[in-house]
Amino acid sequence: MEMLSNAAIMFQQPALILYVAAGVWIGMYVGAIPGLTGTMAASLLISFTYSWDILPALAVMIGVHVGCAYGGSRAAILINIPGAPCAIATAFDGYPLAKKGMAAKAISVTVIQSVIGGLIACVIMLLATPAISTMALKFASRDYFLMATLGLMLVATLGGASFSKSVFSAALGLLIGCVGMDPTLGIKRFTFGNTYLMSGIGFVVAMIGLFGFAEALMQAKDIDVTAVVKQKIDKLKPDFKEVKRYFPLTLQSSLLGAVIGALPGTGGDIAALFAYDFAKRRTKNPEVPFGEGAIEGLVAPEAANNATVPAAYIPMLTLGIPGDGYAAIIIGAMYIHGLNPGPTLMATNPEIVGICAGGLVLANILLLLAGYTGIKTFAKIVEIPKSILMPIIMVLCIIGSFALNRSMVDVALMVGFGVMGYLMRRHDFPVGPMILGIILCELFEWNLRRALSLSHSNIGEFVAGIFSSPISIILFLALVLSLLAKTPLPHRIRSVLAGKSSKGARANEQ
Amino acid sequence: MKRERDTYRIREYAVILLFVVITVICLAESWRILQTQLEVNSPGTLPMVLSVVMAVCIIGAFVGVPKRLPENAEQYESKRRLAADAVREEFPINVVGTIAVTVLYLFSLKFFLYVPATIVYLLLNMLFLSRKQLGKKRLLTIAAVAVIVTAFVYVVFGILFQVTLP
Repeated sequence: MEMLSNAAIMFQQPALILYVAAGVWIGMYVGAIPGLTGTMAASLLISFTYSWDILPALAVMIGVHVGCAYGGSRAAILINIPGAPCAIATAFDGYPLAKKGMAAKAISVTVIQSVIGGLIACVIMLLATPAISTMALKFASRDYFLMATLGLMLVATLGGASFSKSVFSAALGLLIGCVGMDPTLGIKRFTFGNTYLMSGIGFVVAMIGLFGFAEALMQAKDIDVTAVVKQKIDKLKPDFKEVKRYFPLTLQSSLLGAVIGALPGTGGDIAALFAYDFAKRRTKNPEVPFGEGAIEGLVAPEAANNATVPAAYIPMLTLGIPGDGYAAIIIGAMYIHGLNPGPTLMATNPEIVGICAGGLVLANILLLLAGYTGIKTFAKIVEIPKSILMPIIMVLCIIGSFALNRSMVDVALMVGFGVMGYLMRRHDFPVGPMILGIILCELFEWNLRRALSLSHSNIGEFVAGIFSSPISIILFLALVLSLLAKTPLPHRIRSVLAGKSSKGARANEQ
Repeated sequence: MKRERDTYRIREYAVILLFVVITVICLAESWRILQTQLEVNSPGTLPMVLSVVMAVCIIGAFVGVPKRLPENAEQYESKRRLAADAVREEFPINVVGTIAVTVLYLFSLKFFLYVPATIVYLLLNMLFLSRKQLGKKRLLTIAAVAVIVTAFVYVVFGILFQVTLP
């Protein structure tokens, strides 16, 4: 009940409603423009909103998060280029529909399905967050350390990139987080005699470089490649009969999206592709075949990818582990505003969970309005050439990194991180684990050293401690399983089981 | 695209070499920190463990580089040409130019105010990236965008949100 009253705060203050609306609107356009990503927008936003109060800052960031998750689908339908990775599956049937002159219908379906998917996931978030938080309050230092390791491992292993490259990125991120004075003894680490580095490297600077500037460089590289094919669209109208007809698929896809979104390291793209595949298997006789403009092919991915947004807040708020890259940046924003996302958040700032949930519900409702309007302006904005857009993004990156400490060293570091991020992306070193490593370093090291102190600096006692608590055992097993999942072992077990079942089937036939 | 695949291995090895250098520096620095307090719970423990993890992973990444070139790969007779093509593909002219203009912009901010420096930066960067599609209309658009964006950022961020501009 208290959480619901906290959620209502977002609806009671007109200024907050405007901030969320502005966020949804910005996010929708950022998500729609191919090359601009939600994480890039969030990394820039954090540098401009750090001096604001927490509520307006959260309101804008939540709005942008929801808007981005939807925005990608518009470009996917109109120009066959998904504005964001989570809209890849939408292009499969959205663009064929647009080619048949049904772009308006496709956009209308995506708006309403995104909103319903998002709202279903908000309910799940409201129900799951307090339950997980209560459990997480029993965490000891050792458990925090295991949890942070597990979060890093999941982000590194579920991303799909090479395991060794992902773990390398996470370790490098943690090391960057170690730069500066050691928090307990004041010993200088990785400063190389530079006084500026003694206060450490700000993760916002790294974030703007790795997500914003690197993305702009990647787009500058492929500036001549994109070809835009324009589509004509009429007025948009919601079709509630269709909503009722596809509601079972919407519900199933939203639940699928919420479960995938709550797993650290996954995101809207994985959820949307899973849901698309699920819809394909589930729909026996679609009116139009999949890939040629099937409505089911729009319903499933759109409901699923927007459901990942509220779901990503569950591990972020309760365990301090982000569900996706955007949530990682929101964790950063919360730290800047003196909040500590994780098990203690429910004890110290319980209102934040309700406020986030309220913001997400409000953002989804506002998305309904934003999604059905401004379609002509939208078509113009999507057509802005990258050669004009990218220099603007770079200026914002520079201003954003300077604004943090009014220091040109920060700007130089941001450009350095940008070039590094460009190289990492070109060679499949994921930047997500690196950012998470930088953010989680303090929590990781502080709890490791505290747990070691409690074990009298004895490794044997520390390991024995893990097996003395049920929470530690579960976290440790989850960690081991996440590591084993990357070895050939699961593959072998599956092939052995498949071999056994086919032998059994043959024996039955005989 | 095809040439990019031909030079893939050399570019991949070059980036891995860069990370090897970073790993070696981290190992050396971690060892130095560890020497200040030689015990399990010391400021050097985590950096040392992380550096070792990085070393193991970068070896894994090195081993994971595909040993075979694509079947239709170009056979380079001159190693110098191979290296030159690899550098060109890793850092195409658009990327090098953009970084160079940005570095110039950062230096110019020491001598000029935000508004003129940003207008010139936007003009140069947009002109450079649009050089293949330059026409009268595009030139006018670029000039207008450079001025409007600079003014917009100045008013919205500098005045409205009180963000300190460079």
